[in-house]
Amino acid sequence: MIESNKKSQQPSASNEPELALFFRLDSYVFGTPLGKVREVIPVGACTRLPNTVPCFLGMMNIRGEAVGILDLRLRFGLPSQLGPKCLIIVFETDAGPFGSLVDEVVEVAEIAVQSDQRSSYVPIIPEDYVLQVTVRDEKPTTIIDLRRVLSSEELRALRTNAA
Amino acid sequence: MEQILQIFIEEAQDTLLQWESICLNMLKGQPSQSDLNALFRAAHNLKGSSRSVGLEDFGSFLHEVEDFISWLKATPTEAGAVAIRLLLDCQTLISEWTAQLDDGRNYQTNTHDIRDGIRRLMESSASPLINTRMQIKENAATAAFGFFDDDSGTMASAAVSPERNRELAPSMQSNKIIKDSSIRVSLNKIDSIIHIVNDLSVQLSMSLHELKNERNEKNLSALIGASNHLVYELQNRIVGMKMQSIGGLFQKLERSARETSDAEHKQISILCEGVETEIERQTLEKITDPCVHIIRNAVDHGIEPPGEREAAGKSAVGTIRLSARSEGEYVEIEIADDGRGLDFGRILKKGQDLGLLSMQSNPSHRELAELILQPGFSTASKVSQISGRGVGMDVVKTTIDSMSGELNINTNQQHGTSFVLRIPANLNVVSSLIVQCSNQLYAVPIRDIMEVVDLEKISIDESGHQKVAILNDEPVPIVGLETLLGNSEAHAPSVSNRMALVVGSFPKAALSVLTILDEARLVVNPLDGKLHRLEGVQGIAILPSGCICSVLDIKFLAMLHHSRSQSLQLITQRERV
Repeated sequence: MIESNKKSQQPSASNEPELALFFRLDSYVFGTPLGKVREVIPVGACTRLPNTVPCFLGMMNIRGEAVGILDLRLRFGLPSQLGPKCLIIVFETDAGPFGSLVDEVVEVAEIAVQSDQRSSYVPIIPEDYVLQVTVRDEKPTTIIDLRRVLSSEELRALRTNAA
Repeated sequence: MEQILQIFIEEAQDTLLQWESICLNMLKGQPSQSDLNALFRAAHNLKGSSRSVGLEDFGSFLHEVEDFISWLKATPTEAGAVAIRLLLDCQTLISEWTAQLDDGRNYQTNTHDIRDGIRRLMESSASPLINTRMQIKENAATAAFGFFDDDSGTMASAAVSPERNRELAPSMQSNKIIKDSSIRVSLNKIDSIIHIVNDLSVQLSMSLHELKNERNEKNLSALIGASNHLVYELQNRIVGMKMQSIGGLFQKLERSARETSDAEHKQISILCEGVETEIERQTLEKITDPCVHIIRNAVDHGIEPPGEREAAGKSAVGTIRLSARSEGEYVEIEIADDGRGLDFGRILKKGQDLGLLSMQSNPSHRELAELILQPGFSTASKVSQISGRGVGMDVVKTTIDSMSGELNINTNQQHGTSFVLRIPANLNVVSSLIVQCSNQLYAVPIRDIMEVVDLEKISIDESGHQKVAILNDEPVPIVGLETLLGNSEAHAPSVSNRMALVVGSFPKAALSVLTILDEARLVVNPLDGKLHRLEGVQGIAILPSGCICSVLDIKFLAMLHHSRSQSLQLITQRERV
């Protein structure tokens, strides 16, 4: 109980260097903690659900399991575009697995240096999702909490009002 | 220890059900010695097992109840309605007590009133049998119940004051036993399932062998066909294990009805039909409260006081009929009374007062009956303890809707009212039609479809702005399914739709689709947390092709169309005014 509390409050509290999965969205590179990433899979056919917002692509069949997929470009206000290197990062969330479509998966790397310049986060990402800013290839890179983007509160906004 | 407690709780629940049914039986006629013997055994068994799990207060209370029953056996003249009510009260108290144990909470109960009632009854009759065994401990009256302290593994505090109880509450919460309900399954049923699984594994290994070696297509398809059949059988049997007969629910309803009629000084008799009808366990749990509410209403509002009934030429004793039957994939439950029926005049007035009806409108009896399901609607002139606060019927309606069920009300002035619930017997495996509409596939449960019509072969009235099909001389609005689904790609009017699915009884609608592709038995997964209760979608299913499709709740969609067009009508009416 106490263990997990600590972790959720201070993700980088342990001595082990934390790993992040870096991915590209449009011309930006972001990282997300590797811990809860379940898998990265190629894009498959999604079935839209009635009365849901455009950035929710619908459900995809992953080995017999129906997983909801979010278009991260649309979610953050970028125009939708399906490039050749597009992949889906699948997370475990409180409400079951959830995937998000990104333009390219770049690498898995340690979060090397922590930067205090939170101000340098990319403005397209609401600050609530920003975990920290690190330095990668000598450039400040934002580590975002994708699970939070996919959390149930956020997804409640997925539905449009039917009536 | 926890496990033993769990077993104790399960056994206690069974015994208490029996207890209740014996008491209800005794209320119908003169209690026989064999009834009392059975009750005594029940109390005795409970007492014994409660002491074996260290529930001393529970045991000593039952000990007194046991004394009371033996006293009744010795003085049968006293075993009348008063005594039986006391025994039913005991049953309620012990049930609550057990339920609280089940939740893993410390429970403080007040046995004082019942002990007092028992004592008064025994003292009032000059019986020589008030013996020394009967010790009423006044100080034990507020005694709380022992609970198991997980950390120390010992019994903690037998008597806890309310303050202390509150203090303890948070710590109990973290220690709370995670509740998992269980069912008892006969060994024969399990054996039959093992048998099928064995057959299935043989079939599968034969298929694999065939695939590796011979690769004869005909053999393979025969093998896969056989496995498919076995899986179907397995599915049926496992789902069957979760089915329960509806008898338990009826017993509970009978009890509620009797309590209500006692409080209201009315006389009722209760008839049950189809008690062996089976329904899925969780479904049964969900409909219990709605049914209790309906039957209380029936006794409170429906059945008249004896004098009024006789004046109307009816028997002084009102009749409530509970019946259940399976109908395809649905179970139909009817709760009918022979009371005064719904008062349409009052409903109309109330509806207009509340602004639910416009003054000019001339609603049908059916629409008026539906009004009582609206939130805040009650025509009861006095608010009684049981009903009349206008909360309840709308909750009943929402619960049944959430289960894709239906609630119909039939009423007849002076002859009574009947509430008919149609509930899917099983929500997981659903025979469905796969339909195409724009460029999407959807599944529609067959149980929700009344009729499938070919739009090219029926007469359609296109004079209004709403297309209307004439089916059996009845006008039914035709609605494009895609327009109801808010499908962003499908705003174009559906000229190409050729087929229509006709939905339910009220409101009726023909939902037009492009084509019907297939029929399949689908395993429906309800949408979980994030999309929980997405309107118009019951769940999702994976089609044999591997595609995912939404399983639609077309009854909801028909309702949605109905309310939209009604509000449209209201607006146009207002504009005209």
